[in-house]
Amino acid sequence: MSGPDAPNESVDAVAAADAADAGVALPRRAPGTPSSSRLDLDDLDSPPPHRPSRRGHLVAYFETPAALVTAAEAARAAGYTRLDGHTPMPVHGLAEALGQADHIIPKVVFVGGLIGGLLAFFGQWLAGLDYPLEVAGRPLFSWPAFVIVTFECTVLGAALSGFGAFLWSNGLPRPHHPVFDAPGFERALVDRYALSLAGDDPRFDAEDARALFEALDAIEVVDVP
Amino acid sequence: MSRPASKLYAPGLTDASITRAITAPPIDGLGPRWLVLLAIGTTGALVLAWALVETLRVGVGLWGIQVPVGWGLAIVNFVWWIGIGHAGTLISAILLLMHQQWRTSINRFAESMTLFAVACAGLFPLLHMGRPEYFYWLLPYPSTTQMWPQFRSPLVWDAFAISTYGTVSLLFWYLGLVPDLAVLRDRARRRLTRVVYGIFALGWRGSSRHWHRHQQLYRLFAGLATPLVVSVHTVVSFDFAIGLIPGWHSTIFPPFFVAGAIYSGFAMVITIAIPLRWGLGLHDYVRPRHFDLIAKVLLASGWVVAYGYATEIFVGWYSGGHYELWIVERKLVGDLAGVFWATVACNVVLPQALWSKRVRASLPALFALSIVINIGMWLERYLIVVGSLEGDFVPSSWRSYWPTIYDWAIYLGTMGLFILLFALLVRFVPVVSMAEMRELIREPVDSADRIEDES
Repeated sequence: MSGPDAPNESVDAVAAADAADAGVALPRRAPGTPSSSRLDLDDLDSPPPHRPSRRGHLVAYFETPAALVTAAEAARAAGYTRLDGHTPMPVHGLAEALGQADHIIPKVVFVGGLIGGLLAFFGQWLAGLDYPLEVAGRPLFSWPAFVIVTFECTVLGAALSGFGAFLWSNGLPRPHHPVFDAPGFERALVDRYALSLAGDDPRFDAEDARALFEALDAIEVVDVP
Repeated sequence: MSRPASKLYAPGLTDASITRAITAPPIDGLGPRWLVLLAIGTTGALVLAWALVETLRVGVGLWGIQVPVGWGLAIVNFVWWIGIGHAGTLISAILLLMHQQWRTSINRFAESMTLFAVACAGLFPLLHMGRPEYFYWLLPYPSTTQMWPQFRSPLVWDAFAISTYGTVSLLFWYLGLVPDLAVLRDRARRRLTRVVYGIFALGWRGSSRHWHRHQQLYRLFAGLATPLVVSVHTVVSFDFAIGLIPGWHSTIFPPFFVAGAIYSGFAMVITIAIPLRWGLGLHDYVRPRHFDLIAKVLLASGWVVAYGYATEIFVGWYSGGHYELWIVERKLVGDLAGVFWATVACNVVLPQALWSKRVRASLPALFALSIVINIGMWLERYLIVVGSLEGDFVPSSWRSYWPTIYDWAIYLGTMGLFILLFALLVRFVPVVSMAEMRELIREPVDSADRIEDES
């Protein structure tokens, strides 16, 4: 690699090498020409025009959890992907409607518990071999006596890794987030049900989305620049 | 709306009214009654500080412990506090898994009670070691002495059980608290308050993705905490049952200790809930139905405890062992008879009043009974720890145990610390889970909790 100051050249070099292997000729670009994939792609089959991604969010408030779930399903059906619900309490079915229902937490908890338990069990065994305490000829690998510490460490490993996974997968702590700037957002943690659409959504269109949310009985739709 | 009314919360509660009522103490502060509580707690904590400093300065020789009673009041208090610390996690974990709606408004302060009780309990074994600065010898670490802890010893199990229980209870409590702290952050009027709650709220924004993982983890914590609760007092009972001292070496100990822990823990929930409800005006959230159900749990766990007493006596007789028989005799008619029969009166006889619906509906009666049970459970642990040690297998070493003023000061001091921590809790933390209340008022009302229509 030629270093961080020349990423385009190096990428192009790799692409050219790959193309040469495949027996395909790439259009050659004079050195120093700004490399833009857009330029190359325009010559080929042209994809739908990509809207310039914008910052900020569109936030729609709903009166009831049911209205929010309906709106979430409709917005997903309309092709929006960068959606998030904001609710004062867990709303059943909302994460599923938004395609957010993953299973990272149970997996991490299981693995964390397993690691905690195995470390404890074999750790006790090894400690007993490293510093043998022979009492009345009883075996050094007296595993029934190790069960309790193994259990406790399983629970501890599961709980700590689960909490760590909760923070890490959710990107918390994150003291500030753009949606906090939406007027009235604090009510989404008390008695309103909000749906936010991030401006970097590939299909983002403030007018279309606003019309959609209003048609879905949003009480209010606010634009956060 | 034709929703049937529930016995678990006042009719007409809304998201806004819940938020207003529960966030009022942290945001607006509390009146003179709270200052009185704070003063009592601080005084007690100062007494504790004095006794701790003296104990650390001079040593455990200040206490009443001697040979053969090497485990004096410190271990009695340790077992008592740890027992109290069981109800909180039981309420939050087991009742959650069983879909018991009545846990909702009481789980936050019951969990807090657990944390504070474990903090008080943890002090005793540390001090009891005599050289608390070497507590880390209990932990496995590659030391220059090339020694490891004795993993076949219940005392090492204890260190793991208590520290795991404290950690998991803290995480469980905090995970449930995060969404409520975010509400406080948003409602705070002063910048400092906002920043402090903001830090602890972790930037919670009620995201549905976060809620999904939050609920998964919360239920997993409940599943993990359920066997953990049962394991903790089981391990504490092993401290005794693995030993050979007369009256200790019995297989009834684990279930007997767990039942006793639930019993004393629920009694303490009543002891706390009644003044808390009065002081914070939580009448809309903590209802007569809650007290009725807690009283029934007391009655049931009380009978398991009574069965434990009967088994202890039966096994003492059935073993035919000279010293085992002798401790039974001491309990029934000997020098321990006063403490034993007081224990039976407090834990078995008087709580039978809970069969009466009128008693379960009377807060003064419940409060008095909860104090009686707490005293009874303390006496029970005194009997187990001190009673058995006073009369071991070597009659020439038998000696009566008398606690000193330092023993009592540390015990009363931990109560002061407990009160102080509670005073700080009600001032700075929402004592009812707002997020769970919002869920509860939308859930269908269980048929058992339904208030029948008058018409």
